[in-house]
Amino acid sequence: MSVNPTTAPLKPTATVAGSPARIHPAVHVAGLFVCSLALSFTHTLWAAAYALAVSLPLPFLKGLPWRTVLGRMALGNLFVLFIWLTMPFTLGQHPVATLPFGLAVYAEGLTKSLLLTLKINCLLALGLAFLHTASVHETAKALATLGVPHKLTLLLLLTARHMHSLWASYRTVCNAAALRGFTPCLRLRKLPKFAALVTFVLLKSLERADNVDAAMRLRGFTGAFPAPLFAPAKQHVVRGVVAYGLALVGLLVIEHLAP
Amino acid sequence: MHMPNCHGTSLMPPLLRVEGLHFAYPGEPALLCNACFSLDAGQKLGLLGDNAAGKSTLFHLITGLLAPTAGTVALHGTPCTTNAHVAAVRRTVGYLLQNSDEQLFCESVLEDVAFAPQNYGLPPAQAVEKAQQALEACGIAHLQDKSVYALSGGEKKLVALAGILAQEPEALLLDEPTNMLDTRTRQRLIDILHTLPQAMLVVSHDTPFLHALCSGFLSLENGQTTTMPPFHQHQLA
Ligand SMILES: Nc1ncnc2c1ncn2[C@@H]1O[C@H](COP(=O)(O)OP(=O)(O)OP(=O)(O)O)[C@@H](O)[C@H]1O
Ligand SMILES: [Mg+2]
Repeated sequence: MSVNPTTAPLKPTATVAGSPARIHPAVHVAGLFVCSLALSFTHTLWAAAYALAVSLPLPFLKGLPWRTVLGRMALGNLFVLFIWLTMPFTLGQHPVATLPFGLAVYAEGLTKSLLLTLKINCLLALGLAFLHTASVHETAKALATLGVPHKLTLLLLLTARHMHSLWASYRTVCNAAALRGFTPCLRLRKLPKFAALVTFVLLKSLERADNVDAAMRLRGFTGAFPAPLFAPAKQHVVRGVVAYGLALVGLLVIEHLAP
Repeated sequence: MHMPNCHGTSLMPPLLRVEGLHFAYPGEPALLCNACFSLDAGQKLGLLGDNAAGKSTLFHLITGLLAPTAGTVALHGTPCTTNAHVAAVRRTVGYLLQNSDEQLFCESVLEDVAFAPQNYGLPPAQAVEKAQQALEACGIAHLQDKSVYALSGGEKKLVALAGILAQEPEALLLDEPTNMLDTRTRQRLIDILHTLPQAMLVVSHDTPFLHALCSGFLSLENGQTTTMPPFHQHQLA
């Protein structure tokens, strides 16, 4: 098999903007921001549990494979584990139990750990549901719609393009090396060759970024990204505002009514 | 037939004239020395030359991506000396890069093809219309909603071509356009290019393709361009 950098798909699972039955990305970004902010100010377990119950099904409803979802969530929960290993033993004044070696477990620490666990998992689910299904282009456009300066959204887009090229080059070079009997890894003996390989990838991607820049300028690009081709569909905006609005109201009501 | 040369005799200035072009990459020996030719409106010229002869570099110089150490590129008789001139050349001359992977950078095919018309000030609806016409002309209208990352090599080439046609250039610089195309797509490309009214300067190592498309030939050798006599069938054998 020949390894050709130009035929290797850069991003096999890329999706195209504008698929039906969805919420407008700008509303998504704004909604996520507002809801996350509200969530960070909640103090009751009820509200946090409600938020998790609402957000947990979202990645699955968006059609993400459950393996991916669980994998990413597990990774995020490594931090949660750290919380459980420290907070219950250090935070609070009212011990509820004593472990061997006289280690006291405090009620306040337990509650706080549970609260953080619920909140973090809620944010993880929301983030997965949005970021994993929205393309960088959609996100950039959403940010532009929300008034983020062009220069920043452009930077985001070009960084993403560059990361793609970088990853594609790395894979191509690794394949080419593997075909000639070299398996890239971090073992000490192979380290010099691996470093040379990575350097090559970096240089190559730099050249490629230059070429992409040239291609953009050749087609009249002068620094300002053109406006989105399609105006946001009204129902996508309305749907988003209603969904996020209801979720937010629910959160506030429960936070208020919770014992 | 008007054959291109440095001192064209026709009264109308040629669409594109390259005169006394010199260029060397930093720290390298001279790559182009006194390259000199012209391209008339509607003329289709093949540019022949060995690997590393400097053909792609010449295209970079024409479109202002590189600056020559001496010599000029003139569009409709006006030498390109300012940024505005360079912008005019880029608008008038569409450049199909040797590696089409580097030419595509938007998310969807339609967005990518509409990129140039949008940059040249068309409102989104009209840019979409232009892009769709260009995709239609290249026979790839069905790809419009696909992601550019999920295209085959040949499809990428055609999308890149559509992206250039959408800006309605007067001339095309095609750098190895048949690279990676299968026989059918290659024939389709020949058919498409035949119907286009634009002037073309085509680099290719695919001689039958050049023969099918071009009416004249330039050769780039030792940094200089020379006009070759019209190609004859027996020369291909
Ligand atoms: N950025 C660069 N810096 C230094 N040297 C370069 C650079 N780009 C190209 N060259 C060198 O300039 C020479 C001409 O390159 P160019 O790409 O123009 O050749 P070409 O005629 O298009 O070849 P091919 O038919 O293989 O595409 C080559 O020797 C190449 O190594
Ligand atoms: Mg070349």
